[in-house]
Amino acid sequence: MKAIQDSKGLLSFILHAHLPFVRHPEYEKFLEEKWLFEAISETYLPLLRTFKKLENDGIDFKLTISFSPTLTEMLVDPFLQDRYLDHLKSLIELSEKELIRTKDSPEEFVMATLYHDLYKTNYEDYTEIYNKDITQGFKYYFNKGNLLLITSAATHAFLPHFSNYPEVIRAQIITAVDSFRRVFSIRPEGIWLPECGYFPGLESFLKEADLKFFISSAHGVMYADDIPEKGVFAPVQCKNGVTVFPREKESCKDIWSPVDGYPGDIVYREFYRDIGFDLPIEYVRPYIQPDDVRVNTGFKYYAISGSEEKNYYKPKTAEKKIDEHVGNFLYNRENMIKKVETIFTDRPVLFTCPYDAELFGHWWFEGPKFIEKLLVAVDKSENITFCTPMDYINTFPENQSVNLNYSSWGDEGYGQVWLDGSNDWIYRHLFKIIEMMIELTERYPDVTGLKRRALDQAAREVLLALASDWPLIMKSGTTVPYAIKRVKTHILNFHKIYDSLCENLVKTEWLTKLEKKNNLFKDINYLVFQKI
Amino acid sequence: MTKERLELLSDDVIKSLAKKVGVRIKLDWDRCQIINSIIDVMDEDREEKESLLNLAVSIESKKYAVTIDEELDLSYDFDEEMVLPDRYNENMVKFLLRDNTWGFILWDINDAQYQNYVNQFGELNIILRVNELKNGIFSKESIIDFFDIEVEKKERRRYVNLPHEESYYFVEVILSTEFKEITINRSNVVKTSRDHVNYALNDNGKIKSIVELSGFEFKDLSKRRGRNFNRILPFDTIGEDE
Repeated sequence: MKAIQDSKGLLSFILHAHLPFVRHPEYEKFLEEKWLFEAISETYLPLLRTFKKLENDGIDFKLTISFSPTLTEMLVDPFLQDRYLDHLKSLIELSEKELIRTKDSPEEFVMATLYHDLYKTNYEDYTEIYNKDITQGFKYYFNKGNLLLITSAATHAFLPHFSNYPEVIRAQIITAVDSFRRVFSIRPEGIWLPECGYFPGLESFLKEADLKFFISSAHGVMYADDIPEKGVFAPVQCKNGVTVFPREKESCKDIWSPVDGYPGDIVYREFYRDIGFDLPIEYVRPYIQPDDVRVNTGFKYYAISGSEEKNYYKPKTAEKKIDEHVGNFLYNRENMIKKVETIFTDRPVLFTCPYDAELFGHWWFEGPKFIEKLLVAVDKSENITFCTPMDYINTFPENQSVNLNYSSWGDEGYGQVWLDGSNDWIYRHLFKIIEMMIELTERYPDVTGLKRRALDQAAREVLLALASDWPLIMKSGTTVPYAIKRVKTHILNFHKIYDSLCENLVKTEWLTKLEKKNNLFKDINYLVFQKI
Repeated sequence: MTKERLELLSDDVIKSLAKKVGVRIKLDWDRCQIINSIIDVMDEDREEKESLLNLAVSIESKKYAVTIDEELDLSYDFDEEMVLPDRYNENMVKFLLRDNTWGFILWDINDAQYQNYVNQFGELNIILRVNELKNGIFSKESIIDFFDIEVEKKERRRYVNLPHEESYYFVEVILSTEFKEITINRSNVVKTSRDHVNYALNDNGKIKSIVELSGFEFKDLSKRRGRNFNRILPFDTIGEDE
C-alpha cells in the first residue's frame, strides 16, 4: 500500500451503522425487531464476509465504521441474538420452500438458490465463527488495522436540538464512550455525530471525552467563519483542536442520487417487490406478521427494470454493472484530483465519503460487493490510496483552524427534519424529563440499592426518549404509531420512576421488569446527568 | 396501507379511515371506490413526504421499511394508557433554532399566576417578544431590535422567522395591558447561522475555485443584503394533531 503522503488522492470510506434500540421480550414476534435482523443478514454479515475475502486475497484495506451504541448494545444482547437465530431458521425454511416452488422457473430458481445460500451461510457464520456476537468480527479487523471503529451519541439524539442542556450532550457522549469500551474493549478515537448534527460549542464535550475527530456535513465546514483553503478536500480543526472531516459531496452523490446514483441502476435488485406481498397469503403466512399483516421477507426476485413491468433479477448482469460503477467512481475521483491539484499540491486530495452502512446490502443489495470491488480497485490504483481519519491526523496533525457553522445532513442542512409540525410536540415533554432528571441528580447525589437502580433506569429512559429516530420516523412516515408509542412510553416510564422516588415507594417488581426490558447501558451512572 | 389489507377491513373502519386521510365519500360510491380513493390519497401523501426528504434522510428512513404499510399500527398492548399531558402548567419558554432563519418557541404560563395578574390588571394580552442582541450574552443594553407577536391564550408553540443571519435572538413571554407589561419568562439565546460561504473582499480566485469544486456556488453577497425583513411570516401550528 502506498504511503499516505506519497499518494495523489486519499479515499476515506466511512460507514455509519445505526439502529434504534428495539427489544420487546414481552411479544413473541415483534415487527420492528426485524430492522436489526435484516441489517445483520443483509449488511453486517455480508460486510464481514467481504472483509474476510479481502483478507484472504491479501488486500490491506482501510475503512471506518461508526457503530451507534444502541446498535452494539443490541448486537451483544443474548435475547436478541437468540431471536435473530429463530428469524434465520425461519428464513432458511422459507428458502427451502422457495427452491421447490421455483424449480420450474430458472430465473427465479437462481435467486432462490442465492437466498438459500445467503441464509445458510449467515447461520453458519453467526453461530460458528462469531458465536452470535458479530461485534467481535469487526473488532478482529480493527485489531488487524483494517477497520477504524468509532462511536456515535448514546441513543443517537440530534444534539443541536438539546444544545440548551449541556447535561444531555455530556450524558449522550460519555454514555456512548463507556458503552463502546464495554463492547469493543477499546476507547473510541472519533465520533459520528447523529445526523451529522453540529452546533457551535459541541466540540468542547468531544474534547472532554478525548474524542479526536468527527464527520461534518460539507456546508458545516464550508460556511465556517474562515473559508477552508482546501475546501472539503482536507479536514479542518475546531479552535480546541478537535479535527473535522467534511463530507465530499460529489462522491456521495454518485451513490446517493435518486436520479443517477448507482443503486438505482435498472439491472440491480428491486427493493420493493417482495414475496411477502406478492405470493398467496397461505404460502407466506408463517413468515409474516400475525393477523396476516404482510411484510418484507427479504425474498426479492426482480430487477429495478425502470418500468412498472419488472424483469427478473440477473446476478451476473448486476455483477458486471458493479465493475462499471466501481470504475466510474474512481474515474470521477481521479478527475477531481486533477482539478484540485490546480489549487493545492502540498497534500493529497482527501475524499471523505460517509454513508449509512445499511444502504449497503439492505437497500442496495449489491452494496457489499461494490465495497469489495472498490477496495480491490483502490489497492491497485496508482493515484488513490485508503485512509482513515486517524491515519490522516497522524500524518497531518496540523489543519486549518475554523469556527464551524450549525449544520446537519438532513433536508436543507439544519434541524428541520427533527423539528416540524409532525414531531415538534415531543420537545415539551423531552425538555421536561431532562430537567426532572437533572433535578434528581441534585436531590440524590449519592444513593445505593433500589433507589440507585431506579435512578439509573430513569437515566436510560431519558436517553431512549431522545433518539433522533422517533422524530425522523414521524416526519418520514414509516411506522409512525410505533415511534409515537416509543417516545410516550419512555417519557411515562420516566415519570413513573420520578413519582415513585418522590413517594419513596419504588416497586421492585415493576422496576426489575423495566430493567430487563430496556436493558442497555449496563454500567450507566445516573449522575451522568449531573448539572453542569 | 396495501389494497389487500384495506379489503380485509370492515365498511365502518374503511369509512373512518377515509375520513382520517381526508377522502370525501360521495353517496354513490361503492366500497371499491372508497378503497381506491384511500390508496390514491396515501400514495400522494407518501410521494409528498418523500419529496420533502433529502438523499441522506430518505436513505436513512429505508432501514425502517420492513413493511410498505406506512400507518400500520399493530396495536401492541402497552401496559398503560399512554396519555401525555398537553402541558405542565408552569412558566417556561424555550427557543430552538430550526434552521438558519427559523426558530421554534415553546412556552407556557402557570394558570394560577396568570389568573392572579388578571385579577390585578384585568384583561391581558399575551405577547412573544423576539429580541435581537448585539452578542450572545443577555443584557438590556445589548438589545438592538425587537418585534412582538400577539398569541392566543391556548397557544403554546410557534415558529418564527428571524430576520437576520448570524445574529443573536431571545424570546420573552409578556403579559400586557394598555399601560403595563409583565415579563413572565425569558428564553435562552440562539444564534442564527450563516447560509452561505463567507467570502471576504480580498478572496482570490483559488478560493473561488476550491469553493466551487467543493460543490458550492459563488454568490454575490451584496445582492443578499436587501432580503431581510423585520416581520413574521405566518406559520400557525394551532390545531395540528399531536
